[in-house]
Amino acid sequence: MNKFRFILTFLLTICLIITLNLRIDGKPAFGELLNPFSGFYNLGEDNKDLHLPSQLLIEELEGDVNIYFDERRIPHIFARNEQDLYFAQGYVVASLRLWQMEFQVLAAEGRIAELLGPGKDDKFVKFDKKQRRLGLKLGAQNKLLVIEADPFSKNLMNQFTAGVNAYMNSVKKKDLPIEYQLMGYAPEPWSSYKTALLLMNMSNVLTSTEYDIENSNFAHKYGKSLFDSLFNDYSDQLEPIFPTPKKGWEASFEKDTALEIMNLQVNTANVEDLGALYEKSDVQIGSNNWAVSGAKTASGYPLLANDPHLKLSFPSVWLEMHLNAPNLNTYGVVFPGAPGIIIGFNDHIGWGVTNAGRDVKDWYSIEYKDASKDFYKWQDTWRATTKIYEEFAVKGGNPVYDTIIMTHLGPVVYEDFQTQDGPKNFALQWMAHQDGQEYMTFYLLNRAKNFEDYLEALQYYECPAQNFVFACVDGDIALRQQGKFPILDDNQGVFYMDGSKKEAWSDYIPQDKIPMMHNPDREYVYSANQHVADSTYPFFTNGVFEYYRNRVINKKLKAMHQVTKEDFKALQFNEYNLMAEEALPLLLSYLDRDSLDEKGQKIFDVLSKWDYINDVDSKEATYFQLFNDGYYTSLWDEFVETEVLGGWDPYKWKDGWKAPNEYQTYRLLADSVEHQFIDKEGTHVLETSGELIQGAFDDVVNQLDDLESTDWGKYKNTLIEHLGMIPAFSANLDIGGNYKIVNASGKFHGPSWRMILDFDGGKIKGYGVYPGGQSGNPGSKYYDNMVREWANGEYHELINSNDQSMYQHGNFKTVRLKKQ
Amino acid sequence: MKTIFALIFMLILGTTVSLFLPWWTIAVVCFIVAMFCLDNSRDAAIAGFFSVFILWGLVALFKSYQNDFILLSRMAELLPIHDELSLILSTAFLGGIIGMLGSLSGVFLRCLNKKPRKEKYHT
Repeated sequence: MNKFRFILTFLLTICLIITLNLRIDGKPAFGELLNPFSGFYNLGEDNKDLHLPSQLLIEELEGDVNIYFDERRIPHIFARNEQDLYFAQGYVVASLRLWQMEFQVLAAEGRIAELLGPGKDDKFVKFDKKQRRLGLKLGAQNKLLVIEADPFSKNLMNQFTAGVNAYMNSVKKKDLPIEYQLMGYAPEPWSSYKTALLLMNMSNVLTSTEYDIENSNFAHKYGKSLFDSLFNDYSDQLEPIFPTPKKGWEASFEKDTALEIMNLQVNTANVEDLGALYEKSDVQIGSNNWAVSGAKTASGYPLLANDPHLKLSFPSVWLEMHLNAPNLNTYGVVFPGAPGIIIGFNDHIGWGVTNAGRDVKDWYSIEYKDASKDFYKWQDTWRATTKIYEEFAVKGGNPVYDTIIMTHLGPVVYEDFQTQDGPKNFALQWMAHQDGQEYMTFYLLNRAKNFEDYLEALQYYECPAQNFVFACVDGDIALRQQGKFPILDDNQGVFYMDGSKKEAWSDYIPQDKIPMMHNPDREYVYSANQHVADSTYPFFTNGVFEYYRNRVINKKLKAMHQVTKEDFKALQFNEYNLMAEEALPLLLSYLDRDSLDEKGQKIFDVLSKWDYINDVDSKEATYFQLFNDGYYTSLWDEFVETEVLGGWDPYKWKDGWKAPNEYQTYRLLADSVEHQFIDKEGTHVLETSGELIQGAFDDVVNQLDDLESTDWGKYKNTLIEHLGMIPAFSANLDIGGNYKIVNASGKFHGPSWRMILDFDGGKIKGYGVYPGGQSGNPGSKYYDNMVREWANGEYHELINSNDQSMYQHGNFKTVRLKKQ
Repeated sequence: MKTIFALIFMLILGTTVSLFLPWWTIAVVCFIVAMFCLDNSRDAAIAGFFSVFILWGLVALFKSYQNDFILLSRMAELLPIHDELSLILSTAFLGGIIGMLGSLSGVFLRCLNKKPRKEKYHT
């Protein structure tokens, strides 16, 4: 009996401990997690202390490095040479954002299933396969080759890497970020390859602005002329980034205009049931930047502003930092995982970026000779393929294998893509696959002193193409759309092409033909993802562009005089809905007020009197959004996934289809263009625009009672989502703005960093804020401490003094990296 | 008295061990202390349970307090327990169970060793 009770309790104890140490069904090991010594409690930061000890002995350093953390935990890093500076940057970034920087890279590389298992319906395996097929690894490997070939960049990257790894090696398992504990894995050593992957990931986010297959599908089914009339991308109303020069764009290039739009001729399928196409860059991603010269400012010196709009996430996509070494003093935001400052300023110049949105992804149909896929058709003969074998680990399962077929154009991404004409294969040619030294641009911008330095820095920049805004203490302002662009035939990239006939890109737009403005007569430059130039620009351009924000900015800048930084703050927070100004009167003109019921008349009147400000309390903004979404989805019901409503994604198109965007839609309505899609699918009567609009309006009226709140902010309920999609680590906000509006705070995206630079007196003062906090630790008050200020349109002064004694007092906490 | 003595002993030794060794060694501490200091299952259950209950509860509470309960409230939402105090109590209770089981095993082992002698004495 006694023996029995001992054995029973003893075994019970052991079993309990083992169970608590096991991860069951993806759940964390509860003993590990809950015990207060090494579990999660341990990760809650003591709010009085810094997250690092005040002194660290480091073998790799050449000299001591002082890091001063200010009250927002911004590190001000002072090193005696560049080597140590980038080492320290790596160290500090890792100490703040280790999990984020690694997770982003593992996702880019297609290794999520390895961490999290296959996922529901194998979704993580599918995600990984997509990443690998798109060639993110391929691009990163090409970039790595360039880094490794150049001793200078190799050393730069190695220093950063060594810093990250030094931090990683110093962390005890129990002090690793909580996501590691929850997801049950440990970090791997960092490398230059991972930095390259991170940049590749950014390219993927910013250059997936193509619809070749969808457009071909449309043109095939409905004809090229209908396609042209519905998707017409140019109008006189547009205000491109670069106005046409007075003497016109000088074209010194013979263009090859004989593109055979093969999809219209031979072998395009009637693609009713295309397989799943991979998602594109979100249309809500974008950015604003502008600069005005001293002629327009109160101080007589330039002012510059930038706010890049990305997915709002925790930890934030940006990290604020001040880097100082001999001949270098720069402040701004960095990508956790890459060296240098990406957007910011130094003692002489300031710079910022917006996405160019140009299409640098072309698709080609590929025909294999036989099932072995060893050869594919090339003109009248066959070309050999090369094959890349991919094996990917799946946590708790067998590894998955994939073979990627390489052609002269790039990897075959979609294979055996199901169409009614049988399976097809599509290869991708993508600028991001090429090597490039984008990090050199930032390295040089961090040190640039004038316009010439800025130009030199930009020469290295290829992909993802950006509009670099620039201002200098000597009074210069400039804007240049920098990138490497293939010279395209007309319509190249709008439709997919025949891979057996097209050579890979070989001619690129020469750098001196890339549009730029330097101290223009109008005394300001700006960009907001709109068209780069009008249709007279001698090179064919294609992509996804924005139609509204930029025109608001232009109007405001044009009217501004005696500008101060406060004007710029107000402009970054501007919530004027230009789309509503243009679309709403048009929509209302189709309604007959007198035939509406009382409730309908009330809404009609409220909307008629709206000032078009999408602020947090606006009810009209909510009504308009619902009205717009209702009209858009009933008009384009042939192409829109109707289940996915809620106003957030009118662009959620049926697989293989794309409808005209809202700008094009309202232009068609304004011009009363009749087309077959006005008729609703599945009804016996032929609808008119008026009926669709009336129906959409009735739906608005009927929906209102079901809404919890019609206040715009509450209705929109912006989400800042944790990168690992953990709701407890995410946050919801009720704020104004929306995409297409200068304050582009949408449901999931928004200004990920707001920066204003004032060059008053020839000395740059920076102001900035981002929706997050410096720490990636959900157990730190610095995880989300700037969110509220960001939501209110407040800014922090960005302190970039060269003088270390500035930082040696009570408000700063010092960490000294001491050479061992 | 012996129970309280064992409880305090478990607390002190448990704290020291938990700072340096894996979390489950707390069960070993309770096991050893109970084996040497206690002789019945009731005392062992009380000392084992409450020592670790108090230890884990207090440490969890203290660390959360230092952190202004930021992480505690996020974790309560995540797990989901939805109430910070319940999360601390659950933590303490889990610790208590582990301590109690360890301590009971210890005292049972001691009885196991004593038993044969006792039996001999009686016969």
